[in-house]
Amino acid sequence: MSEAKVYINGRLVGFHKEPKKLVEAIRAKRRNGQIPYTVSVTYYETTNEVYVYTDAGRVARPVIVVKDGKPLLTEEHIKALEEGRITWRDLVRQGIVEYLDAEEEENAYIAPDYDSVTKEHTHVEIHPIIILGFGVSMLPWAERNLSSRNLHGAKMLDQGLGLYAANFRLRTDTMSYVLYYPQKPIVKSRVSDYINYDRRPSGQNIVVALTPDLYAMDDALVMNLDSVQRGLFRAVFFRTYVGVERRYPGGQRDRFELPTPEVSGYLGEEYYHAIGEDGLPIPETYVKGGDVLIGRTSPPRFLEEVTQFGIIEEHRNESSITVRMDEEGYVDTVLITDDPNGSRMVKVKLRQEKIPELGDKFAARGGQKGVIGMLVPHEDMPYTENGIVPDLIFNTHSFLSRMTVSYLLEILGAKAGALKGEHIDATPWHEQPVEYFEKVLREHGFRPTGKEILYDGVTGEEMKARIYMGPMYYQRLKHLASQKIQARARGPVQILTRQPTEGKAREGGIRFGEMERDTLIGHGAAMTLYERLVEESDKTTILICEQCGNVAVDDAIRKERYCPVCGSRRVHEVEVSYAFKLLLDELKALGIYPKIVLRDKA
Amino acid sequence: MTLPDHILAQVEEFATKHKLSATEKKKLIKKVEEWLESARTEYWEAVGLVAAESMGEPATQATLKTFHFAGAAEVSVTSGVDRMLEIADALRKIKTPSMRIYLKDPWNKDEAKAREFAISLQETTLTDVAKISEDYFAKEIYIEFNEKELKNRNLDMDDIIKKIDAKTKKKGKKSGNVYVISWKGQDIPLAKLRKIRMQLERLHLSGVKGIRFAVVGKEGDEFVVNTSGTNLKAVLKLKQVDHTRTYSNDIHEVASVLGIEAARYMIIEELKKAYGDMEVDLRHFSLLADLLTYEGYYEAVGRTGIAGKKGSVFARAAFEETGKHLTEAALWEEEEHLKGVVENLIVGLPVKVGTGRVKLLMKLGD
Repeated sequence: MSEAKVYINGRLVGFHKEPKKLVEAIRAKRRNGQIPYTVSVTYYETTNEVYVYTDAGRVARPVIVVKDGKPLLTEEHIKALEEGRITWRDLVRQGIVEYLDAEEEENAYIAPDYDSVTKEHTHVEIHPIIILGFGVSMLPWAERNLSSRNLHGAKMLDQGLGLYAANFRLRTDTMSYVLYYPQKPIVKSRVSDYINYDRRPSGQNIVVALTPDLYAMDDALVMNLDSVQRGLFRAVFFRTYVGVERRYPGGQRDRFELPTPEVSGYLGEEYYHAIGEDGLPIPETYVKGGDVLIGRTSPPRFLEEVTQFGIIEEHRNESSITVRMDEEGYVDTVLITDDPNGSRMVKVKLRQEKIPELGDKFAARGGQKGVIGMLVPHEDMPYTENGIVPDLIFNTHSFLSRMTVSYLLEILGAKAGALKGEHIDATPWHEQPVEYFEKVLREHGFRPTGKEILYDGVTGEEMKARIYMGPMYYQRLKHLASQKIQARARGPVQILTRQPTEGKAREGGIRFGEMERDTLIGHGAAMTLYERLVEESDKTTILICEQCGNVAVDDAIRKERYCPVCGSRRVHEVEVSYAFKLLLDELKALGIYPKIVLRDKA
Repeated sequence: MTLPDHILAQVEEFATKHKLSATEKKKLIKKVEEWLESARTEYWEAVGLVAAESMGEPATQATLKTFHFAGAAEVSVTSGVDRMLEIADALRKIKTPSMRIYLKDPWNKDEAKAREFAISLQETTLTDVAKISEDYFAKEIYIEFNEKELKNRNLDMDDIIKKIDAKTKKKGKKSGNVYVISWKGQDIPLAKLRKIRMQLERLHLSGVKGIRFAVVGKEGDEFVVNTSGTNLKAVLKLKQVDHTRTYSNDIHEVASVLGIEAARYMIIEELKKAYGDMEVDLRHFSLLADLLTYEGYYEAVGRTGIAGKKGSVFARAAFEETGKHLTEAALWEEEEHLKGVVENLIVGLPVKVGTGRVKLLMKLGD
């Protein structure tokens, strides 16, 4: 065998006859502390190369070293750690724990836990949960779910409303949500303790009953209206509006003030009710869509001519910042600062209360999400003989294909935890036997299966099936129906094409697109199509000269219609889409003469 | 409305098979007439658009369902969306050209004879049976024959050497299974040596040109030959081949050998195969096939084909190369008669299909 190539940080530095011994020697020195613990060394047998890395930017993770089938970290070490006699640093220095990067992992054989360590293993994980990322390791009993469900669950964790930052009142995030009464989860993973999740939780423990309710079809949720009215999942939404006094070349600048009716573009008195003389809003005033939040005027775009008296008349344009059309709420905070250019800047925070309503999105951990399909009054919800009424009805059909075992376990675990007054540890790969939950339930006079006898709230009859019911942790996700709803009957049009605007922010409609167009043609519904694409969109009447086929003009003052190209007065009205008129103009700009030949309407 | 003859015959057959009475048969005929009537296209229906959507929608579903063939002795054929695109875009070089060769009497019954014929079809070049290497310093080319391959393909080494000699116009030396051609001491540029070597690599030894691979398969109780690579013209001339049924999936080849009508039929058949068990009405296929072959030759749907040859300027401009079509229309003083669908949508008039065609005529006077 030829000599192995040795690379340091990707650069070939030399050759070695016994690469395996070299690698072992480097590793031994690293474990002794003679070489920094961040150095990684890998030997590739297939290419007979040794890679040593010492540079920055590698991700390394700690694992416990195994020697001859025995992990080096023993009970004594753990005891000493607990008593504070040694620290993590000591473990690393003694070579009990070492950091592996992606490259060196290729040479390692890592056992997931202490029980599965064999002679061949070189390392063992500190805890098997390290295999997962932060998101998934937060989910209770994640190891019992399909991996795809855990991914969905982890993704939704960071959409949940909660206490995102303790100083939220001082912050000026563009958008932020804060949950009114966040709670610690009863069932939780140990990872949430390490990241202090309990101090900034993002959900509430609610009572869930699993029945195939009709209003819970297709991932809809039925929620107890009275629970909602008592503050369940109530949240507050903040939006920060920003206004800057811009400076313009020539020494002019914007001004925060209450615009006078002389200002061009004056909106009307009622829109300025929230602001004072300085143009800033008064805190705790109620504003709705279109109201002015920051009064501002701008200098004219072009300098005015000097009047006959030699004074330049002050003329200003309205450029106030208004509340978005689909928002309303109370002025929370008004903040005056400078922007990076040194101009005066005002930030106004608008506060809105968001009470759960139809269409709002909720999710349990483990990827079971849904939107509210119906809010049912307390008296119409099912109830147990003890008078417990669920906050939420979840559809049983959601389990058949998704197989989210963690959801079912959480109900049982949380029920037991709630009865005994303790938190349940649901860290993945941490056993919490179901028998224990059953025992606790039995001790407290509940059925060990977690099922309850429910009575129909509408008819008062006992339900034929026993219903699985119990508390569990739910999150309110940031997708609120009130911020997505959109409709248009009349509204603004684009200047260029005179077609309706697009998008919610511009009061737009929903696009009748190409594929929708195809369906109408396919049905032969020509007049419906005409209505959609012309009448309801950019229909215009243009004048066409009979003689030369050009677009003619209508001189309303002299009350005459004529063709500006050939001067003919034989001009006719034609109904076309404005986009076509635009096309004709563009063709003319290209030097193409589009001549329109008129014929009688058949 | 009366039923077409072939449907009537089917109804008749069904009636006798199930012993229907005269009234029952009458009822059945009436029902079939109703079905047929409901399947008819309405006046001014946008058949082209419906065909396009009917074929396009399942194609979007099929993008994920691409099959891959595993195993040695099978001829793999492009299927699914890939094949649909090949047909619609009239690609000259298809991914898996293949033939299904039906044989005449003695060959289609005897598997050994069919296999022998299949082997004789396979195009063999020198690289298939020998390893060629050259030594530029010694100015020699070495051809190392693989005796097992020679035997497999029924070839004789000496015959091949004769062919090599004819190509190089030179006599070489044979030692064992290596044939050495030497230019030692001669003034020959290395580029020429390399050219000769490359020519030798492509040296045709036996079989039909273009057929890379041929295997015997069974269809019903007769043996057929499936090939990878096509050469319809050459294969049809062979005496073992049943030229009435032999089939090639290269539509351009079929169009040039058998004519445009055959190609039209082929397009329908190949589309049916490409769609597999996705149910699409035959009439959509036949409409597309008609369009693809309408000009007398096989052309694509895209801007070089059907869409690029539309009569309306606006329709062409709406599809692709807008500027080019508009400027050329201006150059040639083209007229737009607003007869199609897209043109009317652009201008903002009701489209001339379906209800857009219906008009009321008023009778004046009396």
